[in-house]
Amino acid sequence: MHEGRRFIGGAAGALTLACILTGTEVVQAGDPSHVALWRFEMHGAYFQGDQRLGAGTLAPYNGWGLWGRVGISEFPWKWLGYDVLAQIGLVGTPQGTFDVAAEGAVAFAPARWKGSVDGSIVLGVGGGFGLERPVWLGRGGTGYPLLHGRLTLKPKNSIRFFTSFRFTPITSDAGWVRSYDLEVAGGYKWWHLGLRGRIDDVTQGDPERLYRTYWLGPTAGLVIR
Amino acid sequence: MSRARTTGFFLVVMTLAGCGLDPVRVSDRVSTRDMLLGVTALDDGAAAAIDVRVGSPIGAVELTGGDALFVTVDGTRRPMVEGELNGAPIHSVKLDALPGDFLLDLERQSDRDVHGVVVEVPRPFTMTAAGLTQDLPLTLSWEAEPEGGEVVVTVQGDCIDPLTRALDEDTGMLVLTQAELRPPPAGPPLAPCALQVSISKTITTRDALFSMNPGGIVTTSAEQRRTIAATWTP
Repeated sequence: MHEGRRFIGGAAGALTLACILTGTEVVQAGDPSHVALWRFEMHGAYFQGDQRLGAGTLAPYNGWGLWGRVGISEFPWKWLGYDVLAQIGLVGTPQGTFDVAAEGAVAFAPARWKGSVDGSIVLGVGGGFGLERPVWLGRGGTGYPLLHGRLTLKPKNSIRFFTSFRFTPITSDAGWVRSYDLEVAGGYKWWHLGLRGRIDDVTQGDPERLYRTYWLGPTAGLVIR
Repeated sequence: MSRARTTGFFLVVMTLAGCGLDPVRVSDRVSTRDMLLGVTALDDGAAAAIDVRVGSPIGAVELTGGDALFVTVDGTRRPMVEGELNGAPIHSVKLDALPGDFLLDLERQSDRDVHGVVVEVPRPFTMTAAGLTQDLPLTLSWEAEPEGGEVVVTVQGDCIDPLTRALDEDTGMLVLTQAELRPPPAGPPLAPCALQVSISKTITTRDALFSMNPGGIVTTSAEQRRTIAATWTP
């Protein structure tokens, strides 16, 4: 008897959690809450920082990167969706000239609102695969976990602002590697223009110390949804 | 975008591009395992000096953050004084003489120390010069030391082309005929001519600082040099 009640209670709890995550209705295309974001863009960045030479010497370096990116954030359910991103590009340093990455994440929309300024907050957790970053670590591929968040504000139907943060920690033989991305962008109708910054931190070497690279550059493209 | 804003953006980008590109050659940024210690020591019979240059993959290094070099000569430990030579940091100690081998220490606040690097020094010696009167050759003699390093004899003066001769082994004696002292195009001296005769003994070494890869490198060059005056009287 008690086991039956526990089973029913567990099933009800799981169903409740599923309803909280997915909502009770499927959001249709063109949903005005604007959690979905499809975009094609080009991103260029200048970077400089310290790379490791030898056992543990901080050596200044700098360069440029240029990428093409496709990002899709879609919410088949009200609160639950997915993010996918693919990018390919060039990095102008002696260590590497080619860069590629693909990422995917489960996305949640814990806040979405309508008013004088519509908006939403999206949080995601997932993973990706790409060439190692920063480029001086080598040119091997590596998998990594991914955390991201995005705040979208839409004061008018044709105007959209969004800022996003992304964190990818990697623990590998090369040491403790972290990348922090921050993007601020604004868009009018189909177009958007923004600024993206990134910090790559690597802790390794003898003596163990921090090797940091700063990236900064514009991003521009199309938002088609 | 207005022209002023465009110019401002360009200046910001160029500033970013320019900042920090010159290598920051302070020891805080260099691992001891990547260091190249270049030690030169010279005792010319009147005074002696020990110089150490610290190199790295990013260039010559200035010791900072409490890092310091010390030498122990004849049982006395002395700190090295940082200076500059040809735009690069150099660490020096002035001495009366180099009586023998000495020790080098590199002490670092946040990295590996290097202790007890032995710098081999040739034994001090004296020399004499005779001859160069009438038809007599120039005869040089000094205390020989079989393991005393490379021996180089140099003779220079206004009436000859400079002569440099490296000896295969330290024989303690060398005879130079007047014919070997080649006069410049003006011809042999007609009057007594002053010459400077030097004998130099140098020991050079190259070793790793640590038995790992990379393990740093120390190169040493220690020289005992003696110079005396001679007169060529035709």
